[in-house]
Amino acid sequence: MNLNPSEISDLIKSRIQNMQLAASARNEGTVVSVTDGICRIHGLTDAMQGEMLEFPGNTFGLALNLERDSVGAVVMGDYEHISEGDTVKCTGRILEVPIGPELLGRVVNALGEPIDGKGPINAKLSDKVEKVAPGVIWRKSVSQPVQSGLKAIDSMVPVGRGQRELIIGDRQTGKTAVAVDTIINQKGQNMFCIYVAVGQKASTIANVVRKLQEYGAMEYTIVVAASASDSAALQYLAPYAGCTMGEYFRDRGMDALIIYDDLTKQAWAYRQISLLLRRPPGREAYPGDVFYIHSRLLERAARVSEAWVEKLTNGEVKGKTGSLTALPVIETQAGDVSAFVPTNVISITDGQIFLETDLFNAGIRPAMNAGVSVSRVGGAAQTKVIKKLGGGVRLALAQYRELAAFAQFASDLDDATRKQLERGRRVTELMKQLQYSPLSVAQMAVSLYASNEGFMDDVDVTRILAFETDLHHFMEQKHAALMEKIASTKDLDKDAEAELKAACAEFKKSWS
Amino acid sequence: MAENVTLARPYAEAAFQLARGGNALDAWSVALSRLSAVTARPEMEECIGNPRLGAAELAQLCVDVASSAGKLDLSADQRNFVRVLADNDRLIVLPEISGLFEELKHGHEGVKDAEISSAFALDEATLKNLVADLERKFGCRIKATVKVDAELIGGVRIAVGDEVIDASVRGKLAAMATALKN
Repeated sequence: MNLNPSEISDLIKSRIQNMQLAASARNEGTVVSVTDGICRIHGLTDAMQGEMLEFPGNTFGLALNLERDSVGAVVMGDYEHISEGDTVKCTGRILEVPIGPELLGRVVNALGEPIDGKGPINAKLSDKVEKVAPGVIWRKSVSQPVQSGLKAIDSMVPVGRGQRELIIGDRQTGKTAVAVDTIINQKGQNMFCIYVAVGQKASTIANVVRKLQEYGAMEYTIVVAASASDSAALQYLAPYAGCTMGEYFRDRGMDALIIYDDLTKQAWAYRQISLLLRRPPGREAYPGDVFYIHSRLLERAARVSEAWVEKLTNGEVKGKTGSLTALPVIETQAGDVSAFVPTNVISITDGQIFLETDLFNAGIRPAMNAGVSVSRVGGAAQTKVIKKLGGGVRLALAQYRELAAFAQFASDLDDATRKQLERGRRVTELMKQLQYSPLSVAQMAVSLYASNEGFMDDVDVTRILAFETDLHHFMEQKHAALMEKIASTKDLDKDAEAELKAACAEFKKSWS
Repeated sequence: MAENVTLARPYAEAAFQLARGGNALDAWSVALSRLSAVTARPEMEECIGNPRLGAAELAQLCVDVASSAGKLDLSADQRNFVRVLADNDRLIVLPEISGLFEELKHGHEGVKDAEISSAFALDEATLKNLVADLERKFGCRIKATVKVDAELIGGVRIAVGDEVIDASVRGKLAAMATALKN
């Protein structure tokens, strides 16, 4: 028998003393049927939509279908012990999860219970899982950047704080890698991260957690896990639970980043629940409100104004805006973005990062397709220096793609065309980046500058990345002050540019 | 498949309107409870499931059994009601119809059923007090049925519709057990 730290006689005594045992009238019902985690309950005339129901054995459920004579509820967690004839009680409450900084560094399930074996979480606050997103009046436009640390993303599809940027692609195209790299790069950027894993293998989740620990990212990260073996109800709820934890930071004038990995699985879980509740199936057998489950979730990612923060903290935090940036992940089947859920989420989000199998296999990693990846609001939030230097990247790649297709049939090309092709090839190579090695703004600026100014034009394509790494080392050793300046001002003025040019030329001479 | 209660509702409402119109609520209530008792018998269930029996015969059979056993005289409306049920193959939902009819009748009369389970037999005065309290709480007349359930250990458990007031020792112990397990 294991000893439990809560089994101390004083503790037990105080709990018994503080127990509320006054008889109160409660609405009760009887379980009529239990099928795959869905209970049909007779009675419960006062049950409300989304209300938490109390089953025997300290189990809770969610009232999802209110019918004339019965209530359809989904059981959260195990349902094997529930049988026909059991009594179910209304609680009059909506599902809540613990929130607050105590959760940082922890792995919790969709109900906010710790599953990392590090003991209980002493969170002081809890909040409702389903909340209404702040209205237009309370919002502010997106104007501060989220640095992903990935050259391809920060230069071509910049993400701002409060934006919703979709990461979409087939299986095995590095969607999670982009997300995890972004979390790792948030170290020291005043950003709290929430990683919501839905329907993944427990081992995959454990790997992500281990990587985050390795790179010291768990200190500012909460992992909400609903693995493939958890019930569909928990998989459906996990994103909302994670969002509520993120809103804690948003509403207190801080910045948070939330990753939903992935929403396809959540839609599957919801489809399962809906079909078992006998709701009519629609396209691809999804229920009619599958758009709403994602729109109401992603709408909660926002940049809120000082007034909102002040209102929600009762004036404790003044003059600070908060934000919750969402990076939802969608997995496509064989690149089909016109399936139901991908089109829905594309239309909800403020842009998408499109990852492709072909590019991934060609060694271009991150395998982002620069042509169809867009960021609809991030441009206003992009770091000045990256905006200045990265403007040419998208253009160079677009021209390169056009020419590359055309040049396959041409035997001899004029000088200008060849030059463009060469530049495009180099920029494509430069956009490659290893996993778990995000770059700082200064490093990125140096790389982009060197490429723009033609310092890489005579470097062999296969050695571009080596050139880049050596250049970064050189800059950090010999021109640390300049790097510091770029990092702090996030801009490149005339003097700095001249200095950078000289430094690049100096490095070029010595590098071979 | 629709639930039996859902199937029974329109019939119960129709019967209730007829009964109210004819000022025969009590008669209908007695008739329906008897009819439902008849159809709930296994022998009768067999007859209802028998394809050789036509709807008219089945209705007649129901009416005969119901009126013969307790010297109950079914009115013409009631006979026709059974006939309609038999025609629509809904005789099996008679128990639900009876239940819903009672509910409608109580709603009409401003009465609610209260099921009081107590660990010990309640004396007249206590019951009177209890019913008076309940009437004040629910704002309507209460028709109480008392049941002695030794398993409650002590106290009472009152169920008025779906509303349950659990003031029994067993309920408190169960609440304590869940609170301590968390």
